[in-house]
Amino acid sequence: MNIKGQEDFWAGVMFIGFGALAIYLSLDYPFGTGARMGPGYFPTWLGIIMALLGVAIMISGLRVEGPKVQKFAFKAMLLLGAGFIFFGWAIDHVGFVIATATLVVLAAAAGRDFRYKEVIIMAIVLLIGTWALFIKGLELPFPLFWWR
Amino acid sequence: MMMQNKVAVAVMGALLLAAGLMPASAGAQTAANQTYPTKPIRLIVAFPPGGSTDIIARLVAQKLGEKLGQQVIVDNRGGAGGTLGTEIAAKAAPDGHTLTMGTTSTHVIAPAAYAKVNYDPVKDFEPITLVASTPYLLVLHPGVKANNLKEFVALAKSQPGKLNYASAGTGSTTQLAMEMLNRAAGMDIVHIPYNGNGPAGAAALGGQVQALFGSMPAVLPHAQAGRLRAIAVGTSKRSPAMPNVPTVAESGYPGFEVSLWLGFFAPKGTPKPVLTRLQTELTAIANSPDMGAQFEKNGASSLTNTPAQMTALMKTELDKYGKVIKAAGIVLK
Amino acid sequence: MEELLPNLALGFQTAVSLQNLMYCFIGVFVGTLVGVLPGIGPLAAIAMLLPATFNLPPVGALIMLAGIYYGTQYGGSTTAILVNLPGESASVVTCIDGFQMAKNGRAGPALAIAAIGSFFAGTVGTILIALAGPPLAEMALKFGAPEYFSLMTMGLIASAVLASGSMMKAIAMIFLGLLFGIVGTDVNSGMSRFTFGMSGLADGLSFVVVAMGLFGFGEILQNLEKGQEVSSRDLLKTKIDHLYPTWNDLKLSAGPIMRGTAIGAFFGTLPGAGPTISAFSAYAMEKKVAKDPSIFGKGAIQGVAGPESANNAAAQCAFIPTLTLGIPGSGTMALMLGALTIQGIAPGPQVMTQRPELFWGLIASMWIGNAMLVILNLPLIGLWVKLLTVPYRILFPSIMVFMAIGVYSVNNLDLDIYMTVFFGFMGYIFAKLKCEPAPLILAFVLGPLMEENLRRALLISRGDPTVFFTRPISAVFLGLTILLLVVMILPAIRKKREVVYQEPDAV
Repeated sequence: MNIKGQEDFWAGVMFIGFGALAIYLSLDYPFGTGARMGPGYFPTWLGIIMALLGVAIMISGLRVEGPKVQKFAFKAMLLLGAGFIFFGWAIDHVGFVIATATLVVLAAAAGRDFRYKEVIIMAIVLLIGTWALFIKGLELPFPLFWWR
Repeated sequence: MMMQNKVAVAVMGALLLAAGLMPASAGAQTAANQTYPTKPIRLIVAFPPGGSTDIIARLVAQKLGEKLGQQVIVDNRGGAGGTLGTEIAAKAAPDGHTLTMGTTSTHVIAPAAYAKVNYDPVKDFEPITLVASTPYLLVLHPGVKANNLKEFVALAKSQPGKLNYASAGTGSTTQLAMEMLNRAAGMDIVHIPYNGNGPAGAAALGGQVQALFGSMPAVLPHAQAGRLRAIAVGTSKRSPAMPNVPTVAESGYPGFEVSLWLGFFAPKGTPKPVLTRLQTELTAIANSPDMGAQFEKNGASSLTNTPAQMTALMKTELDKYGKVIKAAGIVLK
Repeated sequence: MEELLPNLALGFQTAVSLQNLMYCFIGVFVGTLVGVLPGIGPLAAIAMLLPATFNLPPVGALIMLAGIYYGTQYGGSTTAILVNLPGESASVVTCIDGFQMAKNGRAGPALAIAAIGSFFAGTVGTILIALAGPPLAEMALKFGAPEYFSLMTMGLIASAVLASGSMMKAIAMIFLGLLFGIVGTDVNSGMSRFTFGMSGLADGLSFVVVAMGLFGFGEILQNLEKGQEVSSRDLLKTKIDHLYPTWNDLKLSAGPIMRGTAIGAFFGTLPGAGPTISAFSAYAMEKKVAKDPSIFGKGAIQGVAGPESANNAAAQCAFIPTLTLGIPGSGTMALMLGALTIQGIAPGPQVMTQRPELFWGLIASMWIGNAMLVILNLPLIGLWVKLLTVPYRILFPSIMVFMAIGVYSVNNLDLDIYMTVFFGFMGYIFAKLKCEPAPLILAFVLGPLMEENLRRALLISRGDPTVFFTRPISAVFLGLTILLLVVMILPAIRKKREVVYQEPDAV
């Protein structure tokens, strides 16, 4: 099979996937009737229409010439994702300071140009700034360290 | 490879920096044996900022902080009908530095209505004292031809399944109150759930529904202005705000009582002296005329009791609301 | 009507004093500062700053709150323009052209026109509240479930106009947004849907999470991918030429500001999704009346002026049901209502007669808040624009930190952070596949309201679907929806060939 427009083709596949997932998950919820809709009624129909739209978009990807999908920046995705996920876990477990400092470093590492002196200074400045702003100023209840 | 090294160095640097900041706060740690409280107190509110529970919690938190000489920080952990935040409070360290504002919703209705709740309202907490309660008021759209509860019941019975009532959501107190009345009076009024007290009030005002057993702060101004007809209050005594409106109990349904209470809880195992101190301070705060006036403005009134009374209250209500929830077939998953 | 002038005079007498102007200034200043923090929208900002006003005299407290309210609202638009982070659902629309303007070195004019448009809209809104508050509120009460459903349907169809690329993908994105909106507890049955057993999702995905992910996080990934030249220097494609709008900018914006204000004033009085619906209705309107619709999405000043004015007019008129009926249309309004009650004003039908000095004082302070916002923010524009010249390698880790803290602060829930990563990746994938996120996010906001009201309408009518056509207001909206569809589909079919050729260049 020859995929002419990759963007449309994969977008179609994505929509079909989400539609199918919605239909599948909605099987667990009572469907009801048109007059007295159950919690499954609305999402099932959304899923069906979505999947049909996906098919149409996928077909247009097969028929109409279009640009290729560019390469993904996997390194940046990995580092930024890891930084955020660590932050989410760390802020309640080891505290605001380590969570924030690590996020700064991991995020900076996602850029091409990593200057470690600059990153350390940036981490310190951001730590003090966000501490003053959020914890002192807005009184957000974040523990600074694991002993609260 | 160079990159990785630089990252490692930077992580180390950040950790060192963190270590450098430690001694300052570590000092507080050793003071744990000294008199309570040794550090700011976290008050978990299981609802998002801005709701009536949050406002009352913030009012009390400010005063409590002044009395204890330590800041009381409100920590909003909203979600899942208040069960998320309450679960966090149940599992917090029982040292008196984490408290929660529990309500009829978090400690009675949610445990009874949800298929699964990860805490036990009685076994996982040390009740301290109630601080306030909010009454419920049965109001009708002025177009409904009934001037009191008796006439309304007669009207509803003459056309079963035709009238509608609004609620602040499935499983909310506003639904349970009306379902209890439905059962007690043998009426069949259809439940139309709305998303909160505000929209439910608007629906009654606009005549989209005929009745609403609404929370006092949401419906009182409209009842006073005559835009909604108040026909009964859900409390056992008449409300000072509307002395002419009879209670449901005196209108022919003795024993009927629905209100929302708000009180303080600590995690199970919190030291007795800490609980006693908190009970003394909170009781004093809730009973002060100043706070009473603030509560009044938010449609609530001061109400205090003892830990034993709180436990008894929860047990009675778990039983009472549990029956209604089961009979009405409400299951929240 | 004839009492308007004495009433307003009473209001200004109450509100204008050196002390009150100070409170107003502090409110606007703090509000703007807090508002530019991603994730901390008006709701969170007011909740956090509310206790600070408890100890002020009533009028001072109200003036400060009005300042905070407008400040945070404008702060949300600032970040939308500067770094593509919408502070609340209404500023999603501002992102589309505002951020493009910033990239073209025109952040200054974008920010200025947003401030000027907001001020004009705020002024009109204030007059409207003073003039016709109670009758407008009565009209809002006529809106039952069928009317809301029809209004939402119209809004969703209109949101397809936001996309500048393929119409079919835009519609698919609307459906995807509706699906994301379903996550959480169903209002009608109390059942959790699409939560995968996670109690953190029981209240649904939060707007902040979806917006920060799709716009903020996704945008950073796209920029990093472009490599050296972007990652080490700055965001700007070109030099900043004007800090303030040119005469031509002002001329281009006059029409959009007036139309936006009218649209916002209309939708704002309805409790519910007023500001959001009006912002993108205004955008759709500008795109339809423009001589050359192709400039939209590439930095058209009309695409900032219209929605920003609409958004602010709606935010202002949202006070109408809140003040005159005591019915808050949004979480923020519920909070303002709480603040008013604490200050001894029980909003509701009697407030105007019982406490006229406070009521009119509040109206006057709203206008003062709006004016102060312009006075404070026009000079600040230089500072904000400077922010864009910070090297990107420093800017983006800082944005990440503010985003993380902002998202976490909404519910203090780690799941929200993980979901932001998910939506960040989705936003990046959408960009790769040329699927535009704006229609998705609007559908995400409106979808739950639409389903809720559809089911509620049928529950009340006992299953009779004709209510949507027999109730006049609802019928009008549905008629307009059909008209919109026809207007949209006809040229889309005709233009199909063009679009296909254009697509490789489309942004």
